[in-house]
Amino acid sequence: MSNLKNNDIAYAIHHATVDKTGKELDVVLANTAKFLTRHRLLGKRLNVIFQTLHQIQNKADGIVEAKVKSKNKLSHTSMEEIKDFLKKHYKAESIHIEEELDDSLIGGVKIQAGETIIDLTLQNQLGQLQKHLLK
Amino acid sequence: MKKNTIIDNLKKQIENFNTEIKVEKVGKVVEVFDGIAKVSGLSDIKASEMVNFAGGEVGVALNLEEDSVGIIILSDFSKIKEGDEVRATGKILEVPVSDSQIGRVLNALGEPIDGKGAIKTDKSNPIEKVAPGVITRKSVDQPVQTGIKAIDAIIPIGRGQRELIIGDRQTGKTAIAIDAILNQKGQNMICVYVSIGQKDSKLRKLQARLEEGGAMDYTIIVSAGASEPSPLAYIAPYTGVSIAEYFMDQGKDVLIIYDDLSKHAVAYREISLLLRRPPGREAYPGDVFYLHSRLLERACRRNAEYGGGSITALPIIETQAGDISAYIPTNVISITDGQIFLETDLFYKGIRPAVNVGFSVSRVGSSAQIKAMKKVAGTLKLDLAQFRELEAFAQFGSDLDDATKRQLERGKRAVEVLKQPQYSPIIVEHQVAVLYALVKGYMDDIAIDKIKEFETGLVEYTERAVPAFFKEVKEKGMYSEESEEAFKKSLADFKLSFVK
Repeated sequence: MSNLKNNDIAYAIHHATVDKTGKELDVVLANTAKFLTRHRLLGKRLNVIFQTLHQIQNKADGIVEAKVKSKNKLSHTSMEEIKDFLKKHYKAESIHIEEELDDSLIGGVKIQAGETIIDLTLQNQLGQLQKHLLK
Repeated sequence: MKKNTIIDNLKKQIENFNTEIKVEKVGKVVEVFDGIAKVSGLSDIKASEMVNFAGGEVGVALNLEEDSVGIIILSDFSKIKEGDEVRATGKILEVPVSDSQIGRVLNALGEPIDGKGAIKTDKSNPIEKVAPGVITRKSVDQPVQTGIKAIDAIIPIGRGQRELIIGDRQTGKTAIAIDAILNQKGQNMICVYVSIGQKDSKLRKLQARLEEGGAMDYTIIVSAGASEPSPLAYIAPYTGVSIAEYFMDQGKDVLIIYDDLSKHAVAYREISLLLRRPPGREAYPGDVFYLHSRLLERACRRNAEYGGGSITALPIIETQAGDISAYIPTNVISITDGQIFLETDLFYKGIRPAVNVGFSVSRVGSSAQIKAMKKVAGTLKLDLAQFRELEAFAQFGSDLDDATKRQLERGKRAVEVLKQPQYSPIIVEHQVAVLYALVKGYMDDIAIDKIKEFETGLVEYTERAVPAFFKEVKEKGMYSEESEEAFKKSLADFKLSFVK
């Protein structure tokens, strides 16, 4: 059973729980907990499985979670612009944004959605200029 | 005035500059151990793609699994920790290439480590490349003169050939490679010496020897030392051949030495086992053959249409107790176009280079010899083979007929002539003269302990008496009947004075 993949388990949990409510959901969750215990998956792997499950659920619901890093707090309009851009880019229903202030940035923003980072910081542009001038 | 020019120039440069929106894929380090990192995320990464860790360390994706990526780390991995960000670069690992790398000592990433300053270049080559196709190739028909009589006469190596040097430890494998490099002076050849898992002291000694012989003027050393992590030993030969290809693309001839591929295979085995790839024979992974075949296939001779350059490869394999039927030796023997087999017994008998002429072959053979050498060396191999057979037989009794005795005496002299001290390569025209004297029987009545003296004397005498003979062999690759006659006469004269 050691060849059970985290992805497969997460997909299985998602399929078992989707569209279920009330008592039916309780039964499925109890069975899931039993399964995870039986296969000794309550250790480090549990976090990875839950993260994957979260991603799968978000994908199914058309939700994109993004982290936006900037030096200062962004204005409402900028935030909306970013949301619109991400909505179009990912063809998503809704965008959940987590804002983070990063003192190491000079200006601009850095958007991280899943594995993708879109770097719009001044630092990155200066880095590119440095490379261009050194060529 | 000058200030303004600088500012104007900068302005111009900046005008042409457009920023790009950088979209990167990132993953997270799940675990790090022994030069390997397991990374989650990076779902779009390609095999052999380069990645950057948060602290600037470089890695290469080797194992693409369902929910993680196995990455080999090519720099110090002590600062990488769990949870660190890893960025995919979208590029296959590349090494810088440049003409100014000649004479330098580089690490496996192509960066100089000899303290002579940075090498400025904007060109780079990917370390993994598909070997040149059939259409671009040409058959091997030009010799690489190693300056070693036993090799140039009996196991000739051609430009574009792959000739394995195989033998136990301390049998003179590296010595042959170094002699071959030393002899390339003025032969229009660039040499790349790839040192894999060697002690730094040995490398330093070797570099000093090459410098002393003036060979660093056309040599590049690529080194992944014994103290460096195995991922670097794994990529070092590919780095070497990428640099060699850069010169081949300019139409130049390159000689590359991999010292040695046994350690390379061991490094790859270490990586593979750490990546949990299933072990096979001798615990090597299943693709260890491909590891070496794809490397050695990149040695080739291009035809004129494709630039006409060549890469000659001399891989070295270290055997354990002369066992050439172990896994890696058999693999590399089957990949290469022949092997030079060195034996401990011969070495301690004083036959140096300790080449076992019977087990050594060159599958390209005489097409990679100059005509004069072909003519004089033609019967030499046969003479030696017969000598070995008779030598074993003659031990049983001394009652031998004259013909057998003659053959034994000739064989003993042939063995003596093929002995050669280290770091003293001999140019091909001198080799031809000496071997001519041997196969035509001029040495038959010279005492064995006088053979070396006879040899040097002969070369010196001929240089003075019939320099035209050497000149002709050097320029045309063959001697004419007239110069042969003149040489014969001087040979007889020299012998007469020598015996007196």
